[in-house]
Amino acid sequence: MGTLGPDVVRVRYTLGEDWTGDDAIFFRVLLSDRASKRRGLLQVTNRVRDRIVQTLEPVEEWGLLPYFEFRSESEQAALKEKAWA
Amino acid sequence: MAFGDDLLEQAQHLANRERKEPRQASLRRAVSTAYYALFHLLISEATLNWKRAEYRDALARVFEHGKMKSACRKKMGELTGYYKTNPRAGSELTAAQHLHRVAQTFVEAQNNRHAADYDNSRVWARTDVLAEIESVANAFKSWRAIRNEDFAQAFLVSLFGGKEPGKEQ
Repeated sequence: MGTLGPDVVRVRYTLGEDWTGDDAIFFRVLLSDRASKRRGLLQVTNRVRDRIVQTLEPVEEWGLLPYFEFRSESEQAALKEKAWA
Repeated sequence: MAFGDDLLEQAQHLANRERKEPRQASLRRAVSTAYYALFHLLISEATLNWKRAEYRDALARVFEHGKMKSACRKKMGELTGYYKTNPRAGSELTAAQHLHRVAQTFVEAQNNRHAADYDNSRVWARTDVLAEIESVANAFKSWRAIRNEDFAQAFLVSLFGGKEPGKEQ
């Protein structure tokens, strides 16, 4: 995960299906609070998305369509969702 | 202001409606509205090509979410194949990246919209919602950069669910 840089605290994923039944991989990306600020959020999320997709090639390798969720460390601290821990 | 732009602005408003502790209802509606902003941008662009303006709204009803997603997936696959040919940096590659961004954003926003509208188990954080809205806004910019190109117009036709003009299969 080091290749994703200091903006990314951790990444979790789940395999499943999207709403049309296509096989999918759902990435949950926990961002640092600094990276989650509005200014630059698009740049951070695009970079993380591109890096993961280009590295893993989930469609080409496994036929899995990638989806991404993002949240900040402080949001997770408040929500305390196990799936993000 | 076009309907798609209005929806995008509304999504931003909903995402920021509560200064602290955003309500799930606001975030869910923001996610759904952001998807519909892109959905309506694309179908309005497609129906603009219909000469008789009074029939454009009826034509817009022909578009189906699932078929539009399939067309976007197909386009993403084609463009990924194109990237693997190591194309030279230039206007053609930039245009391909714009269209890829539009298709990818559409697919992801559509799935998020479905979760926001129907999956009560998913908890939304404002960062996630703002990230989607920013992605959609970026897709708007990408679309407007290529909207007059033949390949972009062919993509619009593919959203109906048939073959893309000029493609063998």
